[in-house]
Amino acid sequence: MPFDLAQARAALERAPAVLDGLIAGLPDDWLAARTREGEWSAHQVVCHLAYVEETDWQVRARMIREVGEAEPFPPVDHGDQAARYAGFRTDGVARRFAAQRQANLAALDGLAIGDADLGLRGLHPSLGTVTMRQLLATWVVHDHNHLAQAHGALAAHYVDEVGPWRRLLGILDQVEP
Amino acid sequence: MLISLAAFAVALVAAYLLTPVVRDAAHGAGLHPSLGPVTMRQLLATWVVHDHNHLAQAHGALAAHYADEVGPWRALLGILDQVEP
Repeated sequence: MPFDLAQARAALERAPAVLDGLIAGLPDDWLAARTREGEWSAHQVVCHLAYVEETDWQVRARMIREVGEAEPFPPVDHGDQAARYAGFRTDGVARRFAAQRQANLAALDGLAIGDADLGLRGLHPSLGTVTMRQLLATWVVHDHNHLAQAHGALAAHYVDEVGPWRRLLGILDQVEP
Repeated sequence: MLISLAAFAVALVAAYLLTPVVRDAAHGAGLHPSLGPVTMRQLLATWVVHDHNHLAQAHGALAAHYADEVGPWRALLGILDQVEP
């Protein structure tokens, strides 16, 4: 089993700095770039990360610890959350994400999860039985998922600028021709 | 204060001297061995996109470490679609 609680926690702790390094100082039009209609811009990705940080992970970890499989997790809205952060610039939303991540890690520490607790179970509303280990691993992979998505959206901003190099840059394959 | 003013002045002069060089070079052309003629603008844009390309690739590789650990969530995590089942 490659899962190591301390390593997973360290990855979660690093993510806000990785996100900040990705978006800091970018102009609004770059942050609004998308690979195609209906896909998320980097700004929308940041809004999604902030939203799930505020509503999802900590709630679910606590439910696994305290409720078990007796009651399913509350469902999470996987749609665009940009309207929720209307009036915020991307870096402002990213700061909210960072603060909430810090609070969530403090709360996670408060749950004092040991290796013996990683097998504790909860009930996902559509996936069924899940474990604490699976939740924490998913939290880490979810960061990677959306950071990679943000790279794709930001790369799309230069899709025409790269000229003939486009066909050598796999990340641009998802961009509308 | 004097030092920062002096630094600012130096930066201003440097920007004045360098900007035309960069601007003119952006319209220059080079010859790529397989892609043919390319411009300075295209090279610099490609440099940026190349970073995004491989940083995204690294996210995929790091995520793959937990492909089994996420259990049933795997179905909802698109980044794991590229991982061997």
